[in-house]
Amino acid sequence: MQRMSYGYRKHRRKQDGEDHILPLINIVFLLLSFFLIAGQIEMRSPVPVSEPTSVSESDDNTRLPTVQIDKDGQFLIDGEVIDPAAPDRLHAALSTEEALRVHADAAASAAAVLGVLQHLRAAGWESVTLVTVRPST
Amino acid sequence: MTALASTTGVRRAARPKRRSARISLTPLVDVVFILVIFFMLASTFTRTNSVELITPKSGGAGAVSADSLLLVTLLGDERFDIQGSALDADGLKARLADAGDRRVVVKTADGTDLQDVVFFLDLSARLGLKNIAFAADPSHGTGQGD
Repeated sequence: MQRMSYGYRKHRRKQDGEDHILPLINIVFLLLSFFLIAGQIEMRSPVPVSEPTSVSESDDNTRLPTVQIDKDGQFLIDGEVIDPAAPDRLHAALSTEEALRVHADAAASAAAVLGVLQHLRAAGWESVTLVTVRPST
Repeated sequence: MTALASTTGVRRAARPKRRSARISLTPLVDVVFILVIFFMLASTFTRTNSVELITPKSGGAGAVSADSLLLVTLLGDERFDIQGSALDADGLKARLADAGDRRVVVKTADGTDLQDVVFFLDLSARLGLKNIAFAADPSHGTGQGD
């Protein structure tokens, strides 16, 4: 009986180096699956935009082509300032068939945003989706 | 002799089997750590939602009687103006609740930002108002919306 337990201990000591790593690997795998499931991989937006808060619960389709309006009211596509009044520039960058996602800063002036929407209508987009976030409370 | 040969044969067969079973875990841990760091840096946790907007139609809407319209001016900072009376969010909610079928036309004062517009849209969506239009600024483009 004693010999058996001694033999078992000896066996453990031999494998000690890797047995120590196993709980670590368990935790690291747990972290890995947490980040895989909870996070979503997304393109960083080229300009910082803080979205307006809204109680809207509609899903945001991040795969749609996105235009941005920064806090100074500038209109950007892929981080490049573009004049929204020039429809050919818009059509060169985006296709009209698809819905458009407007990622506008909460601090952008209302007149600037509404002006951009008018230009988008004139260029052929009848509806757009505005990106919002839920209030944090 | 034969017995000895058979025992060494067993030993030889057993030894490489034991070695191949012991795969080192260190490279695995390295790769998994790299994956963890990648997902930590690349993933975002802010969930965004969306509000559907119809872009302003170009061209005037024709003659509409003033009775069928309710003109709301957004002044910013959750202050509003309806026909000359200044209102806060609660006052606006009360006025919009009796708006009935009237079309709500929204003007934005200077200094109003997008957050004020979205706040108004939220409020009217909660009241079930559908017929909202933003008065367009003629200085922006050719489309003078309604």
